[in-house]
Amino acid sequence: MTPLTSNRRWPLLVFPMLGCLLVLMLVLLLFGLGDVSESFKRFTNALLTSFSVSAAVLTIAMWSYADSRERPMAPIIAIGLMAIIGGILTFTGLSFAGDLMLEANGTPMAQILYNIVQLLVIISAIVIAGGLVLGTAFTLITARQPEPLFNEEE
Amino acid sequence: MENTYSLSTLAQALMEDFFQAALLFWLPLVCLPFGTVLALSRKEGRRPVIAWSVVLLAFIMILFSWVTVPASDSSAGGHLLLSIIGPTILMALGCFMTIFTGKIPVRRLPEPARPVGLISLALGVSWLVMMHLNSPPIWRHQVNPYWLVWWPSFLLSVILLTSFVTGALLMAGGNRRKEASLMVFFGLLFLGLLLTVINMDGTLTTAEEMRSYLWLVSADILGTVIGILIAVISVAIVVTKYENSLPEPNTVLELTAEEKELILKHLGNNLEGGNK
Repeated sequence: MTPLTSNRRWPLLVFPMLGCLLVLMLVLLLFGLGDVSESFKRFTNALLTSFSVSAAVLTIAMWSYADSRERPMAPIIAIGLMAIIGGILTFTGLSFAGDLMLEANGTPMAQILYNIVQLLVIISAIVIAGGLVLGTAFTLITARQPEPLFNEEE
Repeated sequence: MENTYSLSTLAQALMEDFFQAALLFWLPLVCLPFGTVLALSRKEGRRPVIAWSVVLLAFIMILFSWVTVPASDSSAGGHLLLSIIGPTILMALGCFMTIFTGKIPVRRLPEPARPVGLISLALGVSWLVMMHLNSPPIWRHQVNPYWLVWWPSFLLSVILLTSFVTGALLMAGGNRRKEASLMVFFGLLFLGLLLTVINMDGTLTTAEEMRSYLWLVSADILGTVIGILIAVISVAIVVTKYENSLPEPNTVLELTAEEKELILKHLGNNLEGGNK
């Protein structure tokens, strides 16, 4: 049998999260939803924006990676291109497929700026929640005396 | 003539607003991730100090953007971050104090700091709950629109990450069932809070509004996580392709007798207690 800490079993950790999300969605459906017609637009906007922004940030990370590899330009250009393609996709999607634009924003540029601030807000929520959960977990772990690694021989 | 004059004045005012927003909000926002990456990428020299100083300054400029560029809609994001900084600091302090008063071998804090840490943690969470029930952040005489995104995102993230950490404790931790059950209790507390939020009207927000937002932020979080994952996987593919294309490194010469003796000496000093 595969041991519990085997790399192959790590993806199983996603299941409790997915289960929780499913239960929450069911609870929401039971209580009744309000106006959620913009869910797909929000999903698409969030996906395109987070992809473009992360690719741009990773381009800078690739610059540091290049420091240790005699400065090859190929990986940096590849990731930079990805960020640019993401940006163009977002702008084109918003300009020509008008369905992606949220009602409150009049122009594609306004929508892109709104998306970036929204990304900042969502990431700050996830990071603060992550800090709280990890902090609580370590509080519980350090509350107990650690077990000795080897039992001393009598 | 008068119309032309008023139009040019309006255009000038718009350009001024645009440049103000670009300089006082967007430039610091760009500096935030790039400064962090630059600071983390190298430990030697002055680069980390300069990069962290830029990040701190940029963060302060974003926090106060609602004062410096009130005309920009984006400054609502800065206003929200400033509103939640108090409870965030309390929760961070609480976590720090409770972790470092625990059974850790180094740099332990005095025992009385533990209850103070727990109180700080509880106060931080209560502050956020009170913000939802009584006084949400007000921006331009209405509830800050980003608060309605941040608060459900935070609650949902806490519940999902708790389930992840509980799974990790059970799978990877040795005899961590007690901690895992306490984490389940922690997650259930937040689930209760979430159910309260979607069923009870606040002073300025309604339960129905929160239900809609909870559904919408689920789409936001899913989109954000998938977008970041695609970017990270693409980088991993690019790096792997590049590393595979590199030629094999040259083989080095065999160790000389002197080098072997030196290695044995160092191994002996470190493995056999030294002075041998």
